[in-house]
Amino acid sequence: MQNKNHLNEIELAGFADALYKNEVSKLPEDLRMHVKNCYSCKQEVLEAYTMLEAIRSENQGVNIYPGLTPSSDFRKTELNLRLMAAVALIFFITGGILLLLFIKYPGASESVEIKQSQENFPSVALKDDLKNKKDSVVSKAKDVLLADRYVPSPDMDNLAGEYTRSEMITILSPKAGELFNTNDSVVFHVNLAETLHANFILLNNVEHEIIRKEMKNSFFLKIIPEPGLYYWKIQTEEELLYLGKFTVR
Amino acid sequence: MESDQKNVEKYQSPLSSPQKLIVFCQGTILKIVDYLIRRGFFASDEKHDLVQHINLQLLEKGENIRKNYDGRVPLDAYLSVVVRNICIRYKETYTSRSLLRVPDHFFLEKTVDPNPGVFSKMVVSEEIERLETILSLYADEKEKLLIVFRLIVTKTITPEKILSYYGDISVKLLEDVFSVLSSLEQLKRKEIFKVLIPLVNSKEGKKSTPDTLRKWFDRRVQEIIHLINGNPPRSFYSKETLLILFEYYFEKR
Repeated sequence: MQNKNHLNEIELAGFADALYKNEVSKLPEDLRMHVKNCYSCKQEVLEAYTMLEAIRSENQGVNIYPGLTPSSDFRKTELNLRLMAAVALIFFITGGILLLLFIKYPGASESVEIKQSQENFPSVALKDDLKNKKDSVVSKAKDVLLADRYVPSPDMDNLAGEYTRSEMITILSPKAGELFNTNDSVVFHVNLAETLHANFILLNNVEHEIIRKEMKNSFFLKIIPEPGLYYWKIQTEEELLYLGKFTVR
Repeated sequence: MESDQKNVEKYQSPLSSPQKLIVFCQGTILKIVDYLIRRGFFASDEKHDLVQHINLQLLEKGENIRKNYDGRVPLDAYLSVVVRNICIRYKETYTSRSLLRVPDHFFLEKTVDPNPGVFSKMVVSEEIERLETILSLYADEKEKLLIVFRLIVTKTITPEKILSYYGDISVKLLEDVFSVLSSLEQLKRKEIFKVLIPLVNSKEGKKSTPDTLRKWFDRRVQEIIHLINGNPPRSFYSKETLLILFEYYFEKR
């Protein structure tokens, strides 16, 4: 790379790729020195890197589900997530086989019951125990299903879209029940009466609080949520002013 | 970036004809277009036209792309630069619409939040990662910059940090520097450059003045602000908020 010329497309791509792989030190010295001293090339390299990162990143959305680490750490935790998914799948299959066996050979459990009763053990307790184990296996497997993120909360769903003191707030976006695609930005824009001090709260479908922010006058917030059903509230210390919901498919 | 025959062989099929290259590129094109729309560079109703335009351009340039590609870099990296450049030229030629750009974050308030929430932590973590990327573009100047930032932001520095960059300096010089730095709480920003200049001159074999160092640093700060804000803009850092980001950065380092 010559000092006089700016980086060409191949060199830009190479630099961006090296940044992505954390291998800048392996690049030719003259290339690195040119970028160091040339603001325009620095900017081009950074934009190319940002673009490349966006393309290569499997999950661009902000991950706001509890227990998961920031998207910047996503590559590191990807393996863990895959392992978790594999374990959950094994649980699910085992649960399914147990359930099938139970349906096909109900006598098997009865014989256990008789044998146990002969030994003066409480047979009902044993049957319940088996059922509980099965339920637990199935529910563990279910926990990781994407569909679970869309199950409405009965308490919240009834109130969604209702204003209690509409003269105090104007909801400009999102619309009640609005549907977004994955990676869409969701913009919350609310105008509040000057005297009003309220809190903005974003919850997922199991009513887990994700974001809480103080609101004053004109409130503006942009997020890129993971797929799922969400509820958002505007509330003061005394009362709930608005409850909205939206879905990211 | 040596020429890599492996990459050429790996991408032999998409590179065999412009049509195959277009098919290969579709995922990349859509991701880039979606990304630029999210960043506010294009309106979402422009998506269809833009994708068509990129495909046409790639059909025209396909032969050149195939000729230029020598396997030195992964094909997706090369195509992302080519497609981005097409998008920028499209923006300059066909659209002059100014779009409302919403900052991706506004969590960097005027002070460091002692108890940041999960979302806030994630945003800061991503910003620190971007800052680290930007700093790596400064090659051997990175550590020099960090020492000045550290002194301005945290007001503390260890002899190890000084020695790791300034290396082989005399004990006398190090003692002099630390005797002044020990009273750093009272030192003004301007005086930091006065303290550092003997170290800089000793390392670089120059006879610069504190003012030269300050001007160099201010230029770099302006550059970093522009780079971190991006083009199209993704955030709205000022000198003040950049220093807050550095405060988070040094907390993590």
